[in-house]
Amino acid sequence: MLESSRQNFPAWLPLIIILALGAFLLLFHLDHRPFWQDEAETACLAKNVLKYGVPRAYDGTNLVSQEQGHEFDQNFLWRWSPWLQIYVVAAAFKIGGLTNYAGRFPFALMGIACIFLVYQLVNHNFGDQAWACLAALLLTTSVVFLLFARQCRYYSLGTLLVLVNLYAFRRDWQNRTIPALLLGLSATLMFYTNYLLFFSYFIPFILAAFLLYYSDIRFLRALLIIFAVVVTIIPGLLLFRIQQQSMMVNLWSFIPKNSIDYFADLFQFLIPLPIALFLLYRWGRSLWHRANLFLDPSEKFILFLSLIITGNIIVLSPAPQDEVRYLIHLSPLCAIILGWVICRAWHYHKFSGVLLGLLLLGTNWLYVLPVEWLGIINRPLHNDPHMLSYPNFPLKLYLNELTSTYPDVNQELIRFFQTHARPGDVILTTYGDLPLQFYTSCKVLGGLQEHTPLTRPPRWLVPRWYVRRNRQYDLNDSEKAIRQLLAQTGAYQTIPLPYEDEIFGNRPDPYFHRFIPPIEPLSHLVIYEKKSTAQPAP
Amino acid sequence: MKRNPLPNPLRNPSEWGKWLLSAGLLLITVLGFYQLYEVQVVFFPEKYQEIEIKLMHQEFCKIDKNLKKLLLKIHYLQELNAAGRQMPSDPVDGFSSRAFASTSNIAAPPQPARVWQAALHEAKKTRGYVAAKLIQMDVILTSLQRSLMSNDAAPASIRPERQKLLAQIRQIRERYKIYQGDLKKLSRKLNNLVDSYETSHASN
Repeated sequence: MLESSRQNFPAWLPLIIILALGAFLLLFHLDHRPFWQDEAETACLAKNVLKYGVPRAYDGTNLVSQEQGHEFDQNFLWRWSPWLQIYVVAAAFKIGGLTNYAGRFPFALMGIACIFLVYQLVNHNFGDQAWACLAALLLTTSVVFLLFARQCRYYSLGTLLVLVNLYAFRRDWQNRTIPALLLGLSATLMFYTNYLLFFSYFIPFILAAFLLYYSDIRFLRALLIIFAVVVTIIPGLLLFRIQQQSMMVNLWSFIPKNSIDYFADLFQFLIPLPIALFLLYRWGRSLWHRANLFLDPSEKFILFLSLIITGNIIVLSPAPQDEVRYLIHLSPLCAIILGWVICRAWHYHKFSGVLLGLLLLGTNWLYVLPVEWLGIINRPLHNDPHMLSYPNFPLKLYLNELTSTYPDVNQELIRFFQTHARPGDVILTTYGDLPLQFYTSCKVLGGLQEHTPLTRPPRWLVPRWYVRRNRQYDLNDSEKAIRQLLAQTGAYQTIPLPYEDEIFGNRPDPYFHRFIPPIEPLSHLVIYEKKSTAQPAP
Repeated sequence: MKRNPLPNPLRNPSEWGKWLLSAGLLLITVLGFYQLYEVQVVFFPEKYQEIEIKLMHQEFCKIDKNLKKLLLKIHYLQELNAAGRQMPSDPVDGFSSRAFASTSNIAAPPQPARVWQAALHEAKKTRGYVAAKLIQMDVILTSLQRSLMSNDAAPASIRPERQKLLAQIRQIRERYKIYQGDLKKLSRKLNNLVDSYETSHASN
């Protein structure tokens, strides 16, 4: 099919079209919604980098914290998560100003680079342009990947480093210096992007590489690279207090539940269960018949990627939080696997190949329906039919959001306080404190911070309907404080707002991301203003 | 001259796989279209609400299970509190600190305070889970009720369906109140246990 068409147009044209599509999907209206809590954490720290040179949690007015103050030391130096993403955002703010677009732009660009690298990885190593184009197109149209890549967070940076690492691994790193350097550098940078990502990716990567590419590995060089990486990450291990955070790892408590949840997320959003079962059956049958999988280098590579994905989930499982964001760096690997499967389906039966391609590119039905039938679907109670946990046309939902004004909860709160609050006013909220810190000139307390004794009652109270608890499963200090203040009869007046009190805002997690406003809002925002400071009605 | 009949593809076993694959993918395609919200709302206007109500019944099973788990954990904590240094087995997790001590010659047996803290952490986690679920259900029930009652222009044919759903929501509300009451009682017991433990340790 593709051979005849090559004669009519240049070979690079499909790639250009895919990259143009990717650029549009990643860059268009990048600032359509404000930063939500996690993005605002990165943005606030980046803002402080511009002021202090280092990520400082306290700027003299507001404190950046979501772990009851455990993220920083006595000098407020940030020691919870690595700094690379913070400095990327700081550089972007320095060039583009303190805007949503500037904060997200570098990561969106990295998303485009990921699409290019997926194409290159396949085309360069296997010479199969159809497979390369399909893999790149699958990543481009993966709404889950697009949502995360448009965040002012490390997600696309981590994904890009995974691809650089794979690309370098497939080049002649055994004999050439630059691929060897890239292998080591991508590992080091990945650690300083997110160490959970680093450990969860590299442990299975190394094991799978030894298992499948044993004869290609030069041990001395491999040991040298590993040693260099270990030396470069030692300062980070100490700075980010990883030993202290590893106390949260609980093998027996988390592994069973988390591994089931991660596999459920994988099948619901990244690789459909029927395809995973097909691959398992295919390789199981080959093992049974002692057939040599290694005759086909492309299939060997697919097995390699599958082992990395499986091992990644196993390594992630002991960590306390199971979130889809810890799987996003596997999106390109899944796209490569799915592209290969579509090509095989095409060669086997053209009609099925086309149908499979259309289903995977345009819908999420092959992901959602099988897990729904088996009763293993993860679908939170608060999900709406226009979310990715229901059968949908994901790109249609995504474009709908980009081309219309979504009533974002953080946007409404920001707008309200920019209009009604005075600089220096104290706002106490149970969540969403960090976006308010970034966008307003108020002193914002609460959220998931440690309790701060108040010298005077705050002028504004923002209780959110979704109740949050700390890691000890007690009510957060902000929840308790607001309940106590509201129990004082007559101290505050109610200001109900006609906007939905959405749980997070622009969170990219498919279980929480809304593309269009819900059929019926769950709850409306209510703000309380202290009566003695309230403005009289006109 | 006789024409040779067209070969029957189903006679050829190697073709079965292709037909099965196509059939499977076509089934997904058809069902995918059928399950789209925009299509469902035309044929089954209340389908989304029915799915939500079904999910709520599933959530109730989880809440029920976790409330029982919480009760057992509270009993375990009561035994820990009463027995002092003696450490009974946790009936929920099956963890016996005595068994741990006897099988592990190298590691020291766990301190009573640590056992208490671990058991308390698990009890609070279960309580937090149930509380979060109940709050979510309350908000979603209110929203569902609002959406069902708000559309007065609904055709007469679907009004019985709507009434049935509203009746189911009322039943769910009753059950929700029972679970909420149970959680409050257990929460009070847990808080009292924590206070009594802290008081006894403070005086020691």
